[in-house]
Amino acid sequence: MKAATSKGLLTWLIFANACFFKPPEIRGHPASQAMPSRQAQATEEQSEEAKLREAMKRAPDDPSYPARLGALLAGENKLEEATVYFEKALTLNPKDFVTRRNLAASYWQLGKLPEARKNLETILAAHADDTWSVLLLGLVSEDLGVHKTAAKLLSQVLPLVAQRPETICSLARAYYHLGETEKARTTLQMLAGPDATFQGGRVAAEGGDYETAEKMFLSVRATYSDSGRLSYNLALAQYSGKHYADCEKTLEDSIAEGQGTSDVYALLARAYQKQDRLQEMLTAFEKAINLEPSNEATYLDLGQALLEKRNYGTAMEVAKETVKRFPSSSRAYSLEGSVELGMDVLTEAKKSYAKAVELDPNDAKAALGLALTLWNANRYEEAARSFEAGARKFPRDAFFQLKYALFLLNAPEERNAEKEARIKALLKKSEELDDSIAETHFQLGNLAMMENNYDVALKELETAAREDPELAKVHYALARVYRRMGREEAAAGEAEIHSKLKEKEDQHVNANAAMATRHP
Amino acid sequence: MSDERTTRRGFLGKIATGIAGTAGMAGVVRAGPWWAGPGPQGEIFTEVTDAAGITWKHFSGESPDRFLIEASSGGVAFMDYDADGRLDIFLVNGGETPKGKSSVPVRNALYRNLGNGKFEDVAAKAGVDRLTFYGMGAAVADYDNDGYPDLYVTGSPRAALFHNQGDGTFVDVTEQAGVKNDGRWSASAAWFDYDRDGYLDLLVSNYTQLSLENPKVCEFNGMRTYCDQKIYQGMPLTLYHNNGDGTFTDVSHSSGVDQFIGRGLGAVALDLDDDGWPDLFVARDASPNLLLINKHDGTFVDRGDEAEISLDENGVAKAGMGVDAGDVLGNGHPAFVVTNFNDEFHSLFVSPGEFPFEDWTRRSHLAALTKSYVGWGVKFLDYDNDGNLDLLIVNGHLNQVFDMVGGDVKYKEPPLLLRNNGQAVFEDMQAEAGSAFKKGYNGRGLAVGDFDNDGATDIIFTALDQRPVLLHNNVGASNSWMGFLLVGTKSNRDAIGAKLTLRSADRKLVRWITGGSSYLSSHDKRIIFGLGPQPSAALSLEIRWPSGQTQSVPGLELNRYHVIREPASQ
Repeated sequence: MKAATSKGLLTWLIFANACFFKPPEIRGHPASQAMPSRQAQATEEQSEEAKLREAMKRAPDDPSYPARLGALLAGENKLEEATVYFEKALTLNPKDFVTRRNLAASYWQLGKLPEARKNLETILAAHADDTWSVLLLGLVSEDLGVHKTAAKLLSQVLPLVAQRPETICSLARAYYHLGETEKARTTLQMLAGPDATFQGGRVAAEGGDYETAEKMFLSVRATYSDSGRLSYNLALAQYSGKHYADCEKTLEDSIAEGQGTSDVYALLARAYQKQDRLQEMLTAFEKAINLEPSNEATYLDLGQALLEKRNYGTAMEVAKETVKRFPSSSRAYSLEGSVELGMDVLTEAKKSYAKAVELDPNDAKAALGLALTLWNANRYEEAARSFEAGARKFPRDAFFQLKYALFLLNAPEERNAEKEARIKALLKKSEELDDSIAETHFQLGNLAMMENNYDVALKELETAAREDPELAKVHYALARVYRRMGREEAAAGEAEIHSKLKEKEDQHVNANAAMATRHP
Repeated sequence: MSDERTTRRGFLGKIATGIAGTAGMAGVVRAGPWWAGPGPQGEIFTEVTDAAGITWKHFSGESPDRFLIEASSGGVAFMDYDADGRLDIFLVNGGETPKGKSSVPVRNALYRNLGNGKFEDVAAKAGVDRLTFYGMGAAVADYDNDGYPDLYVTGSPRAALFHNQGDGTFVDVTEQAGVKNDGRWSASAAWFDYDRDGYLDLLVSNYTQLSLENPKVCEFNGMRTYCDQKIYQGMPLTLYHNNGDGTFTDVSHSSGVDQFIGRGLGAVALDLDDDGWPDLFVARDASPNLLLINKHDGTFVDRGDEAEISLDENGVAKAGMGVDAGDVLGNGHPAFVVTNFNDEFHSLFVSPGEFPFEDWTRRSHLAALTKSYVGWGVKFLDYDNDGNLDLLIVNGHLNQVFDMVGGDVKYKEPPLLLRNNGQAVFEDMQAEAGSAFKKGYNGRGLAVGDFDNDGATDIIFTALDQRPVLLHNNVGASNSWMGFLLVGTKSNRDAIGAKLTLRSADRKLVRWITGGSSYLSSHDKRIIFGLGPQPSAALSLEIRWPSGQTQSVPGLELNRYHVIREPASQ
């Protein structure tokens, strides 16, 4: 069931185009008209439903009754039942495209996206000018991840899109996925009112446009009804935009206003972590855990934060505690495995990840951890099998595809054409699934450089630099490409950036770190 | 100084067994038989440490404090200190640490080659047995051109220069020479004549700051171990200019090399861009490798980035330890091999004749062959005299606890003998190489040289807290070869920096007399050209001396060492 879309949107989709859908008994019902009171409406609907069921018994071959009953049930959010009557009506009258559209809308709401798409495509094959179906297919396409189609369809029916915040957000989301940030921003400008603007901010944040998200959240700070929720989302956008000090301030203000939830403290802890304020980080995590001891995510965040700081001893304590408190959690064992991997306790790491995979075979992170552990143990054949199986099992996991490519790239053997092609395919797949991962663009850029394809290399590496300007190796690769292109000045500039970033990295080497190496 | 050169001439007369009528050629030395008899059947190298009477043992001062220096020492040198035509062996000991004390005095060894397969430790008599500091490496060269090889010993917190008196003894001349390198932890050093004035200068590769008073505490899986090298501040390089009067001037600043601060370990000097001026490759540990190009004016510029030898493709500095240079591909250009940490792979950079170098680490199979090893000493050598430069690498981890982590990385690791197929693709010869290649060691220093003058390159390597391993080459002499000892007159006497090109009807072999190379070690300065089983009859040698003078040497005899003296003028 689609959680993000309101019942209101479905009602709008089914009833707003009442000119096409005119059941005599419920004519005048559309949302645009004055609605009776909730109780009166419920009573009226029950009476109407009973009448329709009776009518169906009397005239079982009349398609209008199941069609109307389906619409009524859909209005009551009884979607599974509604689809049964829509299907019945369509069996009797396959050409009733309004009922088919209602069926598609119900399928969409139920998350049965291929079924929804199929019915909408049937309608549009016969009625290409049905703007409501175009709109609905646009929304379905966006949910299917076919962003290009979604953007194309939704932009064809902008007047309809503009009527609802949900549809505006859907179009904006499609644009963000396509990397068309400016179009997304323009689309979001159609939103009005605190609730819609808040939703728009969340879409912008999801699209990685933290600047727009922050602006939108700030614009409704005084008017949005749930100030705690708003502050949290604002802080999250600030954190994601790497404005850690702003994030910290937002959260501290929120806490001062009595909105210090577990989530707020956990995010505050991460903001401290990014600012290398470890003691404050630990205190904030402790508060988050005390406020909601049953929230596994906080333990996992704490463990991950300690791991990132290479504080393996404490991270291990947290991991053990997480496993103890959440013994059936795959993620808890994954955390333990990742700490053990960090500590190079490879035999133990393998056991932990194997347990995580056993608990949840669909946990891509655990499967990846297991493959990485085997790689670190230089058990190349087993690691290769694990990566290959994982890449097939989790074809939509961009990170898995990327890590498998890195494994192949870093294998000691000379790469033949077949392996080169496989690596490139994995990287392309990763990029297709999530084009915001700098590492993927970096590797594609490096491969293009090796093939002396400097234009492509430059494009990929520039994208990588945009995605993560702090990733030192990207600047090193850019310097190499520029040098090969004869652009010495640009090369020197990038080399200098690389050098500075590496210096900064080295300053963060843990003073107690033992000499060891680790795979990427 | 000219009198001392005369002394050297006397030495050459002693070892010469015949005279070739070639301009500039002082004599020909015949190869001697290996008196120890053949090794086990099929074994390429036979360990002869016991047979040679080498009993000295290295002492690292390993302690619970886990000072990085405990895991880093073990220099070794092949040098003919008494000029009798037979290579002797100098072994540098480490030293004590506050909690790592030795029950006997820590001393170096100088093993004199008796010529009958035996060696005798004469270090005390020669005056090089004791150091006042923790010893690391040895760099041997005749810095005053008197015909006797001198000895520079690196270490912490200083180094020492021992002048060879020519009577079997050495005198510590560090202070008067001005090469103490005070306050620094030096690792490898390379003698080379960067200004081509005929006197060898000295590049000292310094590692990190070191304090034995304040040990850093690091743990690996709950056990105290060596800290990540990156937490130790790197040091600048030191360059000493030889004034030609027994003194040196510290030109680190004026030459520009002091700007390169990092964790320097191995260094090799040769003319890599073929402009007649010696350049430097410095392998550094978790600092970018350096390719210091000689600007002909007493200064150097680092072109490591341009050559793409500084960092890996991720822009990360590997743990460069040892380094060597040689024409591994047979294209007339020097390639560089650098030993690194496990899973970083030891690197091979092949020169196409211009920058950037090509990273052949995978293509050469070196990545697959070295993935589990922490490498130290490394040398190109043509062990089978087939004309292709093969590779010898000694390995050994730092962390004892690696044996327990469940991977394939071990604390003690075998040395690697890798055969070059002629296309710079290597094959592991472990099965045939000999028993020493099937055992694990904490290998560190590695020196190569033909200690029995049979034309086959022999090996010695050191291992932490163990006896060194002396390996006799059983197979090199079965192919034809030709050896050369160059004697500079206008150039430095050791001819460090010379380029030798041997041409036959179908092949051109290029070798350089390099300064430094490997890790903490010094080598036989003679060049051996392996010529395979059926060499062409028409062979000619061209030498470009460090002075820039070129010399053609026709009419060469096979399976002989030829002593070639730089012509006074051309």
